[in-house]
Amino acid sequence: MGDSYTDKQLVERVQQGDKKSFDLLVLKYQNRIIKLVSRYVRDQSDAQDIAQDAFLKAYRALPNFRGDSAFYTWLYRIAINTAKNYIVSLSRRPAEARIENADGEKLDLDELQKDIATPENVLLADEIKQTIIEAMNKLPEDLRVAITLREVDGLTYEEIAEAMDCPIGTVRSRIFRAREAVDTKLKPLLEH
Amino acid sequence: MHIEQEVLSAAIDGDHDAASDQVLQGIAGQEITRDCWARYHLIGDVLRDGLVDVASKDFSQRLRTQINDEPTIVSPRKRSSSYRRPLAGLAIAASVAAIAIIGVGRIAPESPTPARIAVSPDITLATPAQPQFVARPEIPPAISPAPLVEATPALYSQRRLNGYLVKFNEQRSSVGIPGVNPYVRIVGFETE
Amino acid sequence: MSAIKTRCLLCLVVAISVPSGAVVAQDGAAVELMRAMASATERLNYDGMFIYQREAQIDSMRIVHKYSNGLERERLISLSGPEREVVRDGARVTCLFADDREVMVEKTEPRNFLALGISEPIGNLVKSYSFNIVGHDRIAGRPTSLVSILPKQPNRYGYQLWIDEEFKLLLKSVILNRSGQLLEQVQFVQIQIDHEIPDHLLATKIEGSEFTWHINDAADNSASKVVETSGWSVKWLPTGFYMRNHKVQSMSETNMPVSHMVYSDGLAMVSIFVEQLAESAEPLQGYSSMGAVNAFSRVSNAHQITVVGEIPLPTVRQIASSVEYH
Repeated sequence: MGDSYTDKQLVERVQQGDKKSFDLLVLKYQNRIIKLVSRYVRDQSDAQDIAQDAFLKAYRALPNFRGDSAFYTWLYRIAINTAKNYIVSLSRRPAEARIENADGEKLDLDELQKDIATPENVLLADEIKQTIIEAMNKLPEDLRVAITLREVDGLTYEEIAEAMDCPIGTVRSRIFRAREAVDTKLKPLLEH
Repeated sequence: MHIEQEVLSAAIDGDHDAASDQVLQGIAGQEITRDCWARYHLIGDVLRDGLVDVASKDFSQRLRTQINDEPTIVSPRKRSSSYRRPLAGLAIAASVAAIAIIGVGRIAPESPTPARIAVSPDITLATPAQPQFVARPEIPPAISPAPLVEATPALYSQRRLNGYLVKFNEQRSSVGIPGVNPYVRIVGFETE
Repeated sequence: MSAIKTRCLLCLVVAISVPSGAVVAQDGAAVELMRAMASATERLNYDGMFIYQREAQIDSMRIVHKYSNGLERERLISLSGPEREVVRDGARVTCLFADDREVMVEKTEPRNFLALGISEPIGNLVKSYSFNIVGHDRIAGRPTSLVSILPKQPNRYGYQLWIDEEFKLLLKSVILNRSGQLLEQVQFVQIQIDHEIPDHLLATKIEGSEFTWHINDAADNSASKVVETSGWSVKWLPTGFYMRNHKVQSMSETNMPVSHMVYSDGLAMVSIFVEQLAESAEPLQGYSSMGAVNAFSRVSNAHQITVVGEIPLPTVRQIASSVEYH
């Protein structure tokens, strides 16, 4: 994917002492890593904690990252290992009061309580998804196609230019305008 | 530095001009551009994955605080070259076949009757000989034992033979004497 | 056992003439033992160190193998030379090379110990080999039964297997050519069997997260694409060899599909590859020999034909010469 160039640039900047560039990497991958880690734990806030941990581990290991593989691949593995270690450490916790649910699965009392209160960000996530999808549907077709080819199919600007039979500059502009249009609806949701 | 939103969008997509050090530094340096960066990536996450786990608002903030306490990386790495490493299977093959192809360390180039020979560049095929069951596979008279240096095949050819050896070995786990671990040949290695 | 003693044993076995009716019975006991060995290899926990010898080279390795809940896991560790490991978790194989800083992740063929040599009808096997339990020996401090497998047909190697009497694991194996000379040998020097194996022994110690990762999970195409590379056939094979598998794979360096035909007589295996030569490709020609594995390559009709097998080199050459296009 074209954006691995950007990752490379950012990684090198961090390796040269620029912590803020690591911030950009976090902002880029935070949702994906949380989603990845959520497979391993039930609780959302645990997932976020593990994700934090994973990013921190990645930062610490970054001096040794040689850049031969993609940054995300490397980060991915760290996240999985972090999640697994977390689960292993969980199993060592002293047995707490356990309740079985209808399927015979044992539930932790603490977890039960957490599940009852729906986390705020789950509601927000649904709303975000809806907003983005609606905004996408309202886009003019050339903008929608351009951003879909980029984000969903992972094509580079060159490939999209070929697919849509237009100059690269047009591709760049269309993708930006698509993002801008969707962002207009998205921004108010996230700023409160 | 003022970052045009369109430049930010292009930087996300790995556009070489846009994803320059200057621009990335600019994006990382202001909250407003960081937020935009995060939102544009969120759009991509939703388009790609549908369901999304949204990082809580303070996720990156918490991380930033922790990383600020971390030592700054002061060991700049050289930009890695874009040399392509061998693809899957070949590196295994390289180890498996290294001694067969190169015969390093065990056959002196001047040795008149090498126990094994590297791939010779030029073969005249004799008529298929009667199967001979000699103690060591001898070099049939039609093939002159070229000195090892000349006979070393181009790296490309060598790798292809390695590729065949790996594929042969992969089948081994389903054929033949069970009990002998097929990966023993892969782990066995000769130092140069 | 020394080489001389081995040869005498071989001569002894060959010299025994057995009435035909008793042949199968005698083979039968040995083959049964091998079936038990196959099962033990999969189903038992074991942890041991062994040497792997191939001509003048000896490597020492350790294997840890665990079977639980129907899942087989194992880890093979080099103890000499560069640090390398192969970790298998079911069908997923990860090879780690510490010195090269590379990790390969592959899918293995299903460990089909039920095929070939084991579920192979004994009638087929005895056409090509005679199987005999010829004696007893001590390996890694444990009593073993020695199974001798002698080729009855030309063009293949012989084997000797030392099988643990208690657990039926293979503790030593050698591949011999017809003169009784040793081509490859694997021998345990120490082993613990059927005990609890903690999971951490199956986890690699090589810290590979910063290595280059190559992940090859793609399934190879099999029968459906075979038709495309047909037109090539193998005209000659040693007696008793039948096709076991035919798949189309791709070589990493070229993107050409390569037709991979696997033949076996139940024990020995040979692969025949036919690959269309890419324009810029330098053809591979010649042969190569590594322990009991021999390879030969030639070019025909703008195609690269390569034969790799655990059979003698002249045989590999003969097979390669017989691959034809019509």
